[in-house]
Amino acid sequence: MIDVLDRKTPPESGDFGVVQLPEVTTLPLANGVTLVGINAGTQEVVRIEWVFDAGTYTQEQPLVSFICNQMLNEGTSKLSALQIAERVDYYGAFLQTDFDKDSASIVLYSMKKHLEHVLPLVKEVLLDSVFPEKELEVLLANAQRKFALNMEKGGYRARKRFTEVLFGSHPYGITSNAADYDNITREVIQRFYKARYTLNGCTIIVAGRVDDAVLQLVQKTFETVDAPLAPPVLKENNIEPHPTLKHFLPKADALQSAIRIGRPLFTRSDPDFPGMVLLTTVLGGYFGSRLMANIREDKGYTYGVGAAMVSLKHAGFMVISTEVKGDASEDALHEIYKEIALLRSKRVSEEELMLVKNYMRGSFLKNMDGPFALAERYRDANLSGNDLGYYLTYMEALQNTTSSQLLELANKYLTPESLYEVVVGAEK
Amino acid sequence: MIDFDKFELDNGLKVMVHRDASTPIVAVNLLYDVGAKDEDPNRTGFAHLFEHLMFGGSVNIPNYDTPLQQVGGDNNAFTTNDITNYYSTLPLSNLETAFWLESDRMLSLDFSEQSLSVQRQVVVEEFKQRYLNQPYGDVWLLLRPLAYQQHPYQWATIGKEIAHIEEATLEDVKQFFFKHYNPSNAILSICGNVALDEVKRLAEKWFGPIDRKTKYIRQLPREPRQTTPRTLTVERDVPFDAIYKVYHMCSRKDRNYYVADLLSDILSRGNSSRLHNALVKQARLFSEVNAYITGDMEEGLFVVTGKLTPGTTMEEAEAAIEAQLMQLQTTLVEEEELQKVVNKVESTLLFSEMSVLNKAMTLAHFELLGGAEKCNEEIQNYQQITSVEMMEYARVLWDKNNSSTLYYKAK
Repeated sequence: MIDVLDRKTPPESGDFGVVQLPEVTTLPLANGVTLVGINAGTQEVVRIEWVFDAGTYTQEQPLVSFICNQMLNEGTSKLSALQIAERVDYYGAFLQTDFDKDSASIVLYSMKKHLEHVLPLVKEVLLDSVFPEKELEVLLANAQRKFALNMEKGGYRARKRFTEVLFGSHPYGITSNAADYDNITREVIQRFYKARYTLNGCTIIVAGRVDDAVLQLVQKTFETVDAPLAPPVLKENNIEPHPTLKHFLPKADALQSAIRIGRPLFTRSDPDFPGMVLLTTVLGGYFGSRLMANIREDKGYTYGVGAAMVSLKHAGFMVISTEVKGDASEDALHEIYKEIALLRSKRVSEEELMLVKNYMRGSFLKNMDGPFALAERYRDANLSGNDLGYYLTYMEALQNTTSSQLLELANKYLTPESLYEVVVGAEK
Repeated sequence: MIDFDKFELDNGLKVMVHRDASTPIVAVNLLYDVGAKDEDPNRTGFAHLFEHLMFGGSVNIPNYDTPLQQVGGDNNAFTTNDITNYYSTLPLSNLETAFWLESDRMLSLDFSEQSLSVQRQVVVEEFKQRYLNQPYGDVWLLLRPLAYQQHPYQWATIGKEIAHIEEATLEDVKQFFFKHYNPSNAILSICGNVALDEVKRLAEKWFGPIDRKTKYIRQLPREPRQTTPRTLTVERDVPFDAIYKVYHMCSRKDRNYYVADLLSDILSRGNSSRLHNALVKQARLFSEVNAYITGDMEEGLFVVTGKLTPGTTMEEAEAAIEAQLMQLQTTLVEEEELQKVVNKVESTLLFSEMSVLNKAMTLAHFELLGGAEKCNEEIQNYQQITSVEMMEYARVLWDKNNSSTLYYKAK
């Protein structure tokens, strides 16, 4: 058969469509709980997340937030860890614990038909965890071993040091060490649990096929409990990064060097945030980015390299990360700085800018697609007091950013004297 | 439940179409029936290296990624011992761009020396990053040749050794392409708010003109029945001892596949599972312990593995695992415990149907297994399994003579 198609010219591109925000119901309950319902999706399932102000930012010693969160499934005054797990599993549900710098949560995935059996379990776990000594011992010992294992990984050590370098003595800069595991006691964990995991101030985000019956069931289960308000944690928010820009950690026999480069920046509420997200995407935020094109696709130094802007509640940062061929470490660093310098000296072409903006519009559709993705977006926005509408404004600002503005941002934020560097690898 | 239509083009390309009106995203999945098992034993890692080259430009389009990103799309691919799978997601209105791109690289590649030389290096770095420069990273490089002596599952998708990748030539690349990358060896699936007629039109337009070529008929050596236990001991620079026990099991199409899967769930799925409670929490012999099946199309492996707590000897660890297996060989699983793992399978299947990309992959995968419609029978397949069957299969599966054990010791 003779091929008469024009295969060289791309098909006409169409309208991407717009993001339709779902119906969101917000119910402030009398006991201080904020109940949020996000109705979206086609399957008879729900995802419910209980979000507490119990992240590492609020802890008084390392590991407390993490261990307390992990221990929530490990026993209540009525049920053992095994009994909790058996019931959750029997109903085909998934009960996960999750924590980060700014918050800690419990996430439930359940079929709608079993929700009434699973919710009381979650209530018990959240309000009546007893942190059995025996379970704590096992969990601590295993977590400590996992830490030892992680310290064998170049990427893990680089990330840990990078965090310390960027944030110094700010709560975001405190990482854990082997000795910290020995200082965790049941009392420390219980005290944290009582202070931080209180329903007053908790946000419950219900996503999926959320009808009135589902919301009422959650409301009925959680509104009856009176609780004290989780007190706000007040800490000094001054960030003083390490006085030295460049840090090298030797790792004997490493075949690859782990590299992190970046700097502290601002949260998503800063007017420069959308532009900086666009700029980091040009640099290293997608497969066709400049860093990927250079150090992977042109030079073959690495399997992958990425750059990202991260927004936390009280601060933010920009990071470039990669693992490169050991003997190409110097060259790779040189190329990374070269690409950054290029962003400061030369305007991004209109063609490249359009490509990145289109790519980001496509990703945005995906990031806002389906009830589970929407629930996560809502949680992140809510951290800084926003709702889902925030993302539309953010996306518009990002799409309206010009190449001149990118040039200005690069010169404002990506100067050599503002960038910190951590390398973990074999000594030369 | 995934409703779908399917049709086949004259050149043998099979197409699955599922409509999901709830999303602005469309997923396009193209599966090629070629994996690491189809490689020459002296040229391993090739199917995977080839997957990288599929992004290095096709006959009419110099770069795969740029035009896709330009229309808001994103893509990736993976290679297993059985298949090579390419997928993309994009805004619905730009579906045709994916057809244009995918059909051109099925038609022919650019075959450039530059692309080959760079991707060889990238894959070598991937080899180091994932297999050599990670604690316990080389486990499967050791286990596969221990368990398989004849069958090509004896090497990992990354390849037996870095040298095989470094030696790949452009001639090898061309031969591999013409042998495996043709319409009759591929399955395309499209999921999103699409109409069947429109997908038919696009498939005819873009893939229709591609020649059928000769379908490669696979003839793999059979793995002879294992008759004695095998062991291997290595010492590595890792913090803890670890043990890996693998047993040959049935193929994906066998009813016992579901039995083996449920056995692994009983042993290690979730916090209520037996191994976790008995060996991590009660006896404290392990810091973590797992049982799973490799899920291969052909006769795969049942794996039990754990990291030992300090003070536990390999003998104690192995005896404790074997005692747990023995219990399933001698005592019937209670109805409630069986129901628990089946319920979990049911909800996992339901959750997996929440994304168009997952659905597209599922349809293509099941079509390869013998019929996409079978994906909707999965839950019944699990529900039919009885505890008697489980005990019977446990006895066959965990025969000592069917085992290969890797003792991975900390230096």
